[in-house]
Amino acid sequence: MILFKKMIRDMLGNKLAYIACIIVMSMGLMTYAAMSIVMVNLVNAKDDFYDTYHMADAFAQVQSIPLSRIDDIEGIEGVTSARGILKEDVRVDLEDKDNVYLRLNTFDTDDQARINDVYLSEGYALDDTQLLIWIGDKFFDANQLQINDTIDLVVNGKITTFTIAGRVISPEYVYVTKNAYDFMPSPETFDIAYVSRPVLEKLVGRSDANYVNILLADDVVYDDVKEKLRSKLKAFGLISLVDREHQSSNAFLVEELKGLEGMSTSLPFVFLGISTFILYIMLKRLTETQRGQIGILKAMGYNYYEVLLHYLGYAVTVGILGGIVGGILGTQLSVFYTETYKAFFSFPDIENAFTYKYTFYGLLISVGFSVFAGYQGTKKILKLTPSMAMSPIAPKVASRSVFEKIKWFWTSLTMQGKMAVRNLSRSKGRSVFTVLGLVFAFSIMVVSWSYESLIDTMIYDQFDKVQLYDMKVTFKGLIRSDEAKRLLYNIDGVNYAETVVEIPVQLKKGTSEKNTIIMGFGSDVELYRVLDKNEERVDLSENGLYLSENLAVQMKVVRGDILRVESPFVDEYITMEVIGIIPQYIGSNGYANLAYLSEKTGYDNIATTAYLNIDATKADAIRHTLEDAENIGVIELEAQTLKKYRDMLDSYGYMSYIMALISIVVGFAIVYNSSVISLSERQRELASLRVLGMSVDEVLQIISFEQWFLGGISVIIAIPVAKLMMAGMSSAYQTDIYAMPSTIGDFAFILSALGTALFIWLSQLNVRKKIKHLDIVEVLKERE
Amino acid sequence: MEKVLSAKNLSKTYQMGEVTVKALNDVTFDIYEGEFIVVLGPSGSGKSTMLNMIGGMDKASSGEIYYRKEPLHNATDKRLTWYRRNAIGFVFQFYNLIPNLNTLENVQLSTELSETPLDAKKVLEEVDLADRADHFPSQLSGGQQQRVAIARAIAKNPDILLCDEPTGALDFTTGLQVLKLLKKFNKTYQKTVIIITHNAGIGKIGDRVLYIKDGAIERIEINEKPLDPEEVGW
Repeated sequence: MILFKKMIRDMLGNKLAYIACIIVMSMGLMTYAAMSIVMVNLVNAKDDFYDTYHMADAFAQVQSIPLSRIDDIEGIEGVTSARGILKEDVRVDLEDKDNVYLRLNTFDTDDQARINDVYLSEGYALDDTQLLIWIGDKFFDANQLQINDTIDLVVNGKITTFTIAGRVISPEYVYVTKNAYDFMPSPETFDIAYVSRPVLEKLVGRSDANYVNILLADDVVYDDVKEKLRSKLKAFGLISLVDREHQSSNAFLVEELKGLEGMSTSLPFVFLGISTFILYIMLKRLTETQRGQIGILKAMGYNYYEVLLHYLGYAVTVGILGGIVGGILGTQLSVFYTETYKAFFSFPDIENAFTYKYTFYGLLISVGFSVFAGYQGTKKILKLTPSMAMSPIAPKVASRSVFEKIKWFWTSLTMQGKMAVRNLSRSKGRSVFTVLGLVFAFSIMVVSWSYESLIDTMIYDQFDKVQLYDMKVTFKGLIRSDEAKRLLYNIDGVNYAETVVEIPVQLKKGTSEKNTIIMGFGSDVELYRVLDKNEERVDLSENGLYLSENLAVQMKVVRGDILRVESPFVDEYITMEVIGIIPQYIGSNGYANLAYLSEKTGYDNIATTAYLNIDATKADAIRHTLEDAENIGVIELEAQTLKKYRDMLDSYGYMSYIMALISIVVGFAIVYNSSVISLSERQRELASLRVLGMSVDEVLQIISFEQWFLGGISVIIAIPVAKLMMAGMSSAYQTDIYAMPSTIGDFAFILSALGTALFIWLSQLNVRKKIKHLDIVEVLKERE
Repeated sequence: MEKVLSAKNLSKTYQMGEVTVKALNDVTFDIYEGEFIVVLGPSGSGKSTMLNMIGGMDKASSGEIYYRKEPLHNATDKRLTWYRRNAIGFVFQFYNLIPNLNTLENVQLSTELSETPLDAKKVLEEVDLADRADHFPSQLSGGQQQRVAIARAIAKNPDILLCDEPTGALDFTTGLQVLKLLKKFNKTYQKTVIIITHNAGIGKIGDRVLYIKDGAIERIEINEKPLDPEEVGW
């Protein structure tokens, strides 16, 4: 009990150092608890939703399949059921917004066993005869719609007014994006919608299906039936066939869960590692300075374990406080995180598994780490016999440091500087610890300060340097290229138009396969530039396939590999040689020259897409004209798309501030502890200097020189480390949809160096206070 | 009187780099219950080594040492801890109080250990520090701190009070007070007190004086009429 009081007073005497350590530890446990809970929430929500609403096991997109032929698919062994769905992207005519689309899906009102069933969160049933529509939940909110509001859809240039009968979500569209290039939902301008099958059939003038959802038997895996499905669907113009794992919405969700899992298992341990390190150094220092007291306790009859337990108490207290604070904050933060996820992922109900289970686990982890740190930090001294512990410690060997060999450097130092440098080389362990901590803090800062440049490179470069068009028009199906151009040039305000082909393909190499598109560019294409890593234009005239880097990395494909390419454009398959890899941060696809593609597919003079340069003042008129045209699918205005990205990514900007804050706390904790340790180890020495007549600031110079010196070394080491960290993050975040560049911001290094200077300065303010309050007489009276 | 400590041919050598230092060389002595013993010797004579042996803080290189009938020379660490906990009360030259425990807590630190402790507050009254119970060491004078150290040692109710230069850091008057306290403890509780010092003046208050030089006992002197602390000067 008395020793407990001693511990509490010791800790209060150096509270800032312990608090800093507790903060770092609690940050680790906060991220652990928050991310773990969010992960559980998302996994539970996903599993429940998929299960209850019969998420399909396989998804096929075809040109056209009559509903009567769906039975053929169901007849495949291993397939439990299949449903044909007709989907059509249609423009929504909203008063104040342009370029708003809904992906209409047919809903069979009398089907009792729907695949990818729909959860109606509000509203009433659809009707086969009335123009009723169910709207995606997020679109409904984003556009402030109400049940029974009307909504105008433009189909084939004709406006049809629907009544909103409900707001819905579906397991197929938990994460809604328009296409492979969109990696963020944009609920204001795009979502899903459902209308009854007869209504949609009438609206679009077709009664077939262009999508097939397939459920497999419980004991069947997708790979077992894949080939059978493919050969059966081939006849219907198979565009893509994917299993659940690769289905767009699910893939996003799984990717996010993987990211969360990775973060929840790695990030907390980084913090715990740092706090353990800090704690280790602190307790080592504590037992060293209390060496005499340890001797006394032992001499009085306290046994090894009682003394060990006493010192482990410091570590356990930090662990418990860090664990509790981190756990509670993390549990609270999980509510916020879960809410944030709700903005991106649509589930009927994400229950926040508000549990202190992870606080408890976190507590165990933190106490475990702390005990480890405490034991490692104290074991050496505690093993001393009482007589050895009570005898004065031999002074550290003072020898010349390596820096003394650098004559100009050494002679330029003041006496305080020389003392500081010698002390650093005498306390190598602590110096290394400080440098490691500063390198870590600096690197995190570089990452956080690079966020903007990273986004610039990722998004804006794509728009500024690659996609040079003002407007992109996607046709419905194939259209003759010359016809398309004629149509476009006939529109007033279109200054320049060029057409390209985007072919849906499945690329295969060995066991790895990917569904993607190949973009076929003629030699005249000017508005889309394929750039190499030096931002030089790639000459596509050579025959062969160029792959975006993330696709090549994921498929483990290198130049010279031959790929098997399947596509609705070809009967069986064709082969293509990979002749180049294109660095690309958004989307993953292939490129080829049009002549080569025509030769391979047999299609000539066709277009699927057009790029336009337009008169900006006539943009609205051009869009309206196009919307009324028959063959036009989707119209995208570049400026609008760019704005959408900017808005969305700006909303992530706060993350970079959080990271910067974390790095400052970590940096401060490390520098402060290191200087306090240095101060307490050398109280006598510094007090002697005060007695000799040095001012507080002159004495501070010794400690501060050490920290500035280590700070300088750390920055030099941290620059390549930060680059490596960015490169590591970049390779870790390669997905189908985007790749993270390893761009470092222009001022990231300068800002991070300033940040490092800030926490060195902050910690020195406190050290100064301690030096000022150093009781010279008492310190010098103390026996060494 | 029963022997509380008995040493036979006790030696201790230390290895200092390539040099072997014989700190204690073939020392033999007996100490009896209730005795007031002064171990006298100059600096470097082996006094501290002897204190470590007697106090169970270090083990001898050779020879035997017994506490009553229990051998300490080959005792386990656990047994030595028990010995220090229950049989020995230490008083050090530099007091060695725990700086962030107050007076009473420093004493309680030791009563928590003992199987038969005295009342901490009463012991503080005996050393005339009851009114300083909540003072921290930094708020006490050297003499007061040493009195706390004595109270801490006494409060365990040990068989032997082992004092290492207890007046070494004190002025004459304060040192005298400390010696009086030690004498009082010896008389009141009939406990053995061993003072290790270089101060020849203190030798006169002991029942017996062990003169130690170059790691060996030079001679043992018996004071037929030990003086009262107030009668001696140094």
